[in-house]
Amino acid sequence: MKGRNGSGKTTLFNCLAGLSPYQGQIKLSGIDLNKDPGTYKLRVNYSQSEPTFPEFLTGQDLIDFFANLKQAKASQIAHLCGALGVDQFAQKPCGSYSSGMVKKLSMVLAFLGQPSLIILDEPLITLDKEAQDVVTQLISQEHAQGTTFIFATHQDFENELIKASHIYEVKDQSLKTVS
Amino acid sequence: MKSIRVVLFKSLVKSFYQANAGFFLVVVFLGFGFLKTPQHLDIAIALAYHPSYYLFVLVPWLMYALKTLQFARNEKRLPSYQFLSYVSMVPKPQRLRLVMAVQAALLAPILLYSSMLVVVAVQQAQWLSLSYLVLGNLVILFIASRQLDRLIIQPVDPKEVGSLAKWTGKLPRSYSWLFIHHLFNRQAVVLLGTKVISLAVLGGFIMIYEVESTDLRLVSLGLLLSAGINSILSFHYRQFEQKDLKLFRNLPLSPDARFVKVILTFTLLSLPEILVLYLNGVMAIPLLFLLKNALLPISLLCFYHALCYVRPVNAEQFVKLPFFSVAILFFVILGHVDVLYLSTTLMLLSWLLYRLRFTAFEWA
Repeated sequence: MKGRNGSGKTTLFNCLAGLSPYQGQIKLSGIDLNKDPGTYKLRVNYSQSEPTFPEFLTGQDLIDFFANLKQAKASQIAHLCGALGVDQFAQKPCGSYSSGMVKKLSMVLAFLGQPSLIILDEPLITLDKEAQDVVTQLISQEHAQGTTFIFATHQDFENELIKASHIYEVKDQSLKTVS
Repeated sequence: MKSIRVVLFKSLVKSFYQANAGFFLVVVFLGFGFLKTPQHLDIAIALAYHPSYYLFVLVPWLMYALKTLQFARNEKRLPSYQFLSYVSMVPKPQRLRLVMAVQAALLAPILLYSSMLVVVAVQQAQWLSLSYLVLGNLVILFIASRQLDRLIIQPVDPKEVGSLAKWTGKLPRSYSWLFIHHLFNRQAVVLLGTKVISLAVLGGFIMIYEVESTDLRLVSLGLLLSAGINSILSFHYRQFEQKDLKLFRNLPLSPDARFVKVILTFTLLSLPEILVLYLNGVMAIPLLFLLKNALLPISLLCFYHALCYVRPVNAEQFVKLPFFSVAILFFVILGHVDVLYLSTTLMLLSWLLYRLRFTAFEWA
């Protein structure tokens, strides 16, 4: 998903994830977000470009909260937290995190459960090189298991592991197919 | 389910009581300072024998329930609370039970007071009163829980501007006005509630003075109490500085220049009290006294703000500052100390604290 700053990519993602109000219908494999939000949100995960969480909640609070709702297994939580190094700071309140740490936490939350669609808004910004590689690996592995991804990125994100099958552009409040 | 409950309680209940610590201080001060336990029991017995009087009690309870819902609405509008919409994934019966527990915790003060009224109604064998009371509380709890559930699960557009902010959008945007815009945009209920209580207290003291027409200290005491009520704004200002004005530390402004801007902000915030003082007292109170007293709320608010620079304080720690300082200054004013000296001393102390602590605290 491409588009200039302010074109509406994040607004579109927020609507698709059920975080912002919208007009019309949003459906995934016949499941309507408005009519069956529980089932829909179980299948759609989301990481915001600049995620923020209440400063007094710990990373662990949020991981437990999302893991419960997304029906994630303990082994999956341990694997994701270990891979991104979130287990090292999860017991501390979010207010003490750097932007990179919040982004890592947000990435863990985005991969929890068995979603069929993961939306990642600027997935690599603020992450260090090591974490960027881990995220790329995670995307590749999940995609190989049948998960669809939607990205928005201003970076040249495509590499050997990740190839975009479709490119769209948000422009003049509408979605245009680029390729 | 425990993890969801923990997040909801931390996000909505704990933060509500922390944010409204000043409000509860005033309620406790007014409700249990002036009225003692025997008077509360007398009220409970009177209510038990006259069930229709419960309507008068229900009005402030409904307003309190609205306050809890307004708080949840404001929190949900913040980007950091957007994730709460995911609670919609919890099956409806479980979710309603969960939300009702959250709402009951938010309504705890009125539910606890109701329990006392219930006990008295049972002791007096006034069953009609008892049923009104229980029914009234249950209706408030159910309706408020239903609304809270909607607020939690419904997506909110954070770009949506509050109706009050639309009206105040044309106010100046200079440094001194930034906190005022923040209040209108994000904490309109706190601002409105604080001003209503503060002006009611001040107006009450002026009325008593006009009836008695003997002791001008009554007016000063009214201003002192209203400044104590407004002290929560000093705390919110400090929090606003720490969260939203970080980049402004980079401005080439001396601590003195910043302090002048802080004074201007608190002068603007104290305008309603100053206006009420002048409009109500201009006929009965000497002009010089009015001018001298107008400085008191401004200097006190500056003082509370400067105290927040001494060491980091949370809401619970902060409420002790106005509580004890108002208690001490109450007796200082009763001791015939000129309010102008008091205001000047407080302002000088604020300036000294600001000068001494600003750099160390801000850049630590």
